[in-house]
Amino acid sequence: MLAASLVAGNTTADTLPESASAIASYTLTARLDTTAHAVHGEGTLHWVNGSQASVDELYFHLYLNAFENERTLFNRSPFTRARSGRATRRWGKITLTRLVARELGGDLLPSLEPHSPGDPLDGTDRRLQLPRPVAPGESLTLELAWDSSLPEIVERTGVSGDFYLVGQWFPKIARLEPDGSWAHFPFHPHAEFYADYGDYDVTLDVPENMIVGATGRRVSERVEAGRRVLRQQQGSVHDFAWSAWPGFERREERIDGVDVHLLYPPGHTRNAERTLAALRFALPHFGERYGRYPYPDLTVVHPPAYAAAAGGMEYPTLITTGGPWHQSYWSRAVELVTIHELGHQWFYGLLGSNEPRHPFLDEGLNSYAEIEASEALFGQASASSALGLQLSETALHRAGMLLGPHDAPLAQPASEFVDFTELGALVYSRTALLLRTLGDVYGRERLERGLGEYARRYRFAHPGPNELLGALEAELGRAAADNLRRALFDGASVNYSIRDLRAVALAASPAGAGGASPDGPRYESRVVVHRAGELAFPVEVQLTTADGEQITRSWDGLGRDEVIAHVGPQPVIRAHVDPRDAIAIDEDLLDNALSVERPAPIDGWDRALYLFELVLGGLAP
Amino acid sequence: MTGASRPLRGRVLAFACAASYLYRLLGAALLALPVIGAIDASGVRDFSRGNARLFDPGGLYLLEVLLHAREQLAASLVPTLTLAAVLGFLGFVPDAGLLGALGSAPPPPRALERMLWLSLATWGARLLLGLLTVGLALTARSFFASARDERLPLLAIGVMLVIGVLLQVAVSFWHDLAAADVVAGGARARDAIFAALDLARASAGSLLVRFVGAQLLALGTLLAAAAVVGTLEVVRGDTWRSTTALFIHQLAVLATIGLRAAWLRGACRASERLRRA
Repeated sequence: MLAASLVAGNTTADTLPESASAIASYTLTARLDTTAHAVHGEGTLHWVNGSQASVDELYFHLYLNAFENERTLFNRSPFTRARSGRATRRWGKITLTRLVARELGGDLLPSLEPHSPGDPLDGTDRRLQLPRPVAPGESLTLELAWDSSLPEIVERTGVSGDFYLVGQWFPKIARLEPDGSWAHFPFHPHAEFYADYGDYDVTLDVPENMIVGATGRRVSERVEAGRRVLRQQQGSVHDFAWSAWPGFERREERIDGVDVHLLYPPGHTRNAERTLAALRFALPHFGERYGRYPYPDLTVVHPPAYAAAAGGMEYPTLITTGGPWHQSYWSRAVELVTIHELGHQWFYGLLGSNEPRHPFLDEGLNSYAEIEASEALFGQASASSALGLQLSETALHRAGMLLGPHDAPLAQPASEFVDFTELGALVYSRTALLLRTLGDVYGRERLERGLGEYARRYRFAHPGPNELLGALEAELGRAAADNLRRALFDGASVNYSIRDLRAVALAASPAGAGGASPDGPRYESRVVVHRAGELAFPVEVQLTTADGEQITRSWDGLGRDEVIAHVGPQPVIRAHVDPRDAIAIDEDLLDNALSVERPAPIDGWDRALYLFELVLGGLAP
Repeated sequence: MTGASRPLRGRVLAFACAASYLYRLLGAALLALPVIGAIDASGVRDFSRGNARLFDPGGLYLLEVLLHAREQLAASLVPTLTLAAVLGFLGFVPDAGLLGALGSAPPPPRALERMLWLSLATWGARLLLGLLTVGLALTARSFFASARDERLPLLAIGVMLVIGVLLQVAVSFWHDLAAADVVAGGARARDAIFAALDLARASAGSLLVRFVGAQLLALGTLLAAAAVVGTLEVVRGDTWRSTTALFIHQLAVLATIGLRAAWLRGACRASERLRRA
């Protein structure tokens, strides 16, 4: 089915693949022990060698071992605080107790290497030598049993009080690439996940008072002997996570054909309504752009305040939001985190890109999708509208981008970034603004078509940067793709500025001769526009003459400098390059204009004076 | 007061109000200088509409300028806050002038010195109450820290903060009555603090109505000014819009000073009546 859609060229709703090839399918049972904060699990993994090569080894990701002690790769990183902003405070780990391949016979557990390749202190990425090679198309059924001890919530998994967010909790096989190489990674604080698609059938056994949200559809639920036993099923996903808390309140709503299950803490009724409102807009909005959401369920978990580190995370068909109960009174953060995490259902969930290797493919593209959707929903007040001040997502991401490095490639592996602030500035903000720039310069609709084509064509197909570049080049053209490539791989940037503005009165001369007019003096104005950096976009330059006339000139932006001359009865008093602010990744917007007559600074004085007058009034004894 | 002295006293009062306003204006200008300097250095005035661009919906240029000027603004933060505290405290000087113009008799020779001590006492009381409020708010919050309903801790903080604000308002009320007794009644600072209690006991109802009325009217004035300025759409960058906004804001400040003078006049009269009784 995937091959058919690839051949078809433009992918439409009719040709969207309905499901992924089931490479790694799990049938698991998990029992939650709320006294020991532990999960005992067992079950089977049905794995198919979907590559074109025989393999004689398997790799397993045992990511809870990242929290085993202070010497793991995760915890010995110089920046012990990871994406969620928290350090490990209660150790957690996963211990495999059974590993048997039915087709190969014998216990494979002794063959599981004790630590990550080349790193005796880390146990998150483990190689298993097989007794014989597994041929392409051949499958294995692995019987598994394990015990997971949950850490205090860190990196969006673990326990806080009686709240559980259980992610990366089972032994998960790494992804086998089509060429037969394993994409396996130790768990790095900056990195997320990458895995093959499969069908999940998971039975959860929790204390009776627990309210549970989990990946997939609930097919049964019963209570017996003080335990709640529920079964979740979902096909075509590459992970499974769940959350349990006795305090959840619940809202159910069918949105755009999807059963939405919203779990939130008491007192968060307004946040819950805002979350659902955001989903009512964003589910069809993203579906229209990037292909219909194919799963019947979406579970949204808003963790309680004391488990806030569990918020803002995506798993297939399950997202976590967050924020205090009063947040929706003064900001749009609730809507934004909802839209962002929902967007990950496409830019991570349905595309299955390699997050550790190319984080920009999920976080960068998804941040663009978040900006586009939030500005479609809220306009210029997409981030906040309080006290008469409206802030947009674009402005906030620009601030984030400007605080980060200016010349680093965006397409770096997550582990290569110096810290998460740098990753945030480059991967989230700069990538999103780069895409926005491409849209505003070469056509927003064309960009949307290109991204939509990428998202549809490579659904369930684990695309990489080349697939993105190809889809965008087909819509936006070679120049746009070159700019994108340079920014992604070479760290290219751009800054346009007005370097000089001069106007001289032309010498009087007989009527009709030279540049002077018999009706009055004429002026020759000269504007020097400069481009710094390696990216080159066509730009507009707006000239304003002394009588207020506005003249727009175009520059292909290819050279370093462009001299624009204007002869007329009025001198040019102001020049402004990129007056539409189309180039959202311009390094400095404030040097984009130059005036010989500056407007009086009345507004600044007015606001500052008034503010401090009120302050002085308030501070008087 | 004789008919001949009334216009004179009116002029003195107008002068005192103007002095109070000018003090506020010049103090604010001094405090605003680093901000205005940073905005000017950013180059935003090279754009059409100049500074008005800072208030565009979306805040693109506002954040750009803040980022551009962040080091300059950060460097000026502590000096600006210190200067604001000093200028705020010295606000008792124009207040004393205002009270002097409102009293029936000329202020006593050491009125300014006594106002200084009174103001120090008031600031001390404000600081203590502020600390007490924060402490009580945090304690109240801790009682509800483990509540399932996350609104309860903030509600507890909110209740304590409201009580704290009301106590601060009460201190202002007390301070103003004492200040009236110092300047218009010739009392010493310590005596005035206790006299203010007698004054409040003697005519609490009418004084409270005047005080709260003046505060509410001042708040209403500021809100009305905000509403009117909001309709001006200064982001369009026309000079007349910006100038009108500036004018309205300054008028609002002047009006609040006038309302304060009206309240202090009532306080002076009450103080004088109590002394006569």
